[in-house]
Amino acid sequence: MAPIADVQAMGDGQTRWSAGHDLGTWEMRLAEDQPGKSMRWEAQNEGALIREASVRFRPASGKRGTVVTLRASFDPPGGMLGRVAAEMLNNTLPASLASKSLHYFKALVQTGEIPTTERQPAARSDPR
Amino acid sequence: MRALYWNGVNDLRVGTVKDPEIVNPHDCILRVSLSTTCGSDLHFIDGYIPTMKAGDVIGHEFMGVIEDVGPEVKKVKKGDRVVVPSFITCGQCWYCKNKLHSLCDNTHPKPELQEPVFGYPTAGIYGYTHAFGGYAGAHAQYVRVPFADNDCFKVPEGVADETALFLSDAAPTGYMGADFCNIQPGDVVAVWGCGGVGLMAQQSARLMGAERVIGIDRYPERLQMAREHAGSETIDYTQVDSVLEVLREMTGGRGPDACIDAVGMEAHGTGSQYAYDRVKQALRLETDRGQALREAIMACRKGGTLSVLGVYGLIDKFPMGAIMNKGMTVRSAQQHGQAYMDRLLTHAQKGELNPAYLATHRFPLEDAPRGYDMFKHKTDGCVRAVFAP
Repeated sequence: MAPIADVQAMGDGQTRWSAGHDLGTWEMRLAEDQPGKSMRWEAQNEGALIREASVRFRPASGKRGTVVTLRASFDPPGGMLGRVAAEMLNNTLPASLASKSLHYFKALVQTGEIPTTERQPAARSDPR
Repeated sequence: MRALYWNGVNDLRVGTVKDPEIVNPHDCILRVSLSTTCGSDLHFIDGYIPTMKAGDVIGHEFMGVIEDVGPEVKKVKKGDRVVVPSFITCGQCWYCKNKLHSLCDNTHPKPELQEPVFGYPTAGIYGYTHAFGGYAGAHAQYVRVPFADNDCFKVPEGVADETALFLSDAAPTGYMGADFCNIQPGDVVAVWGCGGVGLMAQQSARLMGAERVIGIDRYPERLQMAREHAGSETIDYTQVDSVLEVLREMTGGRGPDACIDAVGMEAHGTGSQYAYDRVKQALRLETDRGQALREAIMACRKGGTLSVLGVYGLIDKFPMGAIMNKGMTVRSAQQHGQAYMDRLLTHAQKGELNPAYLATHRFPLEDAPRGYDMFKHKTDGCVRAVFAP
């Protein structure tokens, strides 16, 4: 979920999600876990940026691996939508962020790393 | 370290930036020995491809010596002299396994910038806009190369740096363009553009068995190179009324079996169609001046192959009817260099394809802006400017 939030496992099905850009941290609980098929998390309290998230796995046609479907319900607190769009999402839609999360997840699973331009040389303050 | 960076449209500068570092486990750091200009760089230097950021280190065609490797690098090691194809590829995804390397699924860090334009993201590339990944480029003392085992190719002894350099991009691009043409004995292949890629395409077409190769350009020195190095017949399009008519005559009224476009979105030409494209491009109503491509489509024989190596965005007045009704095959791609590298290194070793002659002008990295200026304006017969940091 790197482009949306950092997720830390806290044991016993509890996870802590941090969105960065002052958009807060919140806890989610693993509400459903069907090994090899799907997982679903629910937010524990009000004010979570993501209310519910799930991933499903199914075999791809032609033995081309596994299709992963990610669903995330964005529920920004009142008045925050503008900030979300402007700051964290860098003017991209949540759907595009979800797509980027899957893109990174696929890279990590297939190659063991996520493509990045972090810490590279550039003649400006933020080199990415 | 010192590096060449893009500061704005037609504003290149050399400055001091931080050294690259190993970020991912399959990375290596390459000490750049040589890097070179590519015609496709001119499109973003001139402002026709968006998503550059001021301060971006540019350059995607290079070779050098490995300085340091990440913990997961197994095949190559410090001290290896290697050439690196311009597209970054993981070697693990479906596209890499099917030798479609420039379409690699796993090396684009910013797919959200490219998906809206192309539908799906390509592989990332060094120093070539954020829409193509935003990776720092190779006109620098050092460059970070991801997936070093997959993308660094050892240069055999006896193959000079100047030769290996062009196996990074110009040679594999031209070679792939000829490969797309499925050349049969007796075939006539016409190539628009006698720059680095066009010359490589012409030589490759000859190596693959074309009976006649025809090179089209307007610069006498480049046409001369096409005749000398590829054994091509040549057409100076500024000296003829109609390239189409000349090609028709040269091929007995039939047209070339395959036409390769090695020009791209900033074609030069003559006549009203060229004027139309210049106006529309200046007004940003189209990103591309497509005269070479349109001409290649019209010239090609019925049932022939169009191989597009020039870089395009949005083109106006594209003669789809000619492609459809003439039953043409259209092949195109950014270069899949990793798929061709073994063959190219063998050709280089045997002296069958030695692109070193493309390096007409050599500069220290500090003079790179001047090198790009000479390259862009073809000053003093410049085909490629080569930089040594």
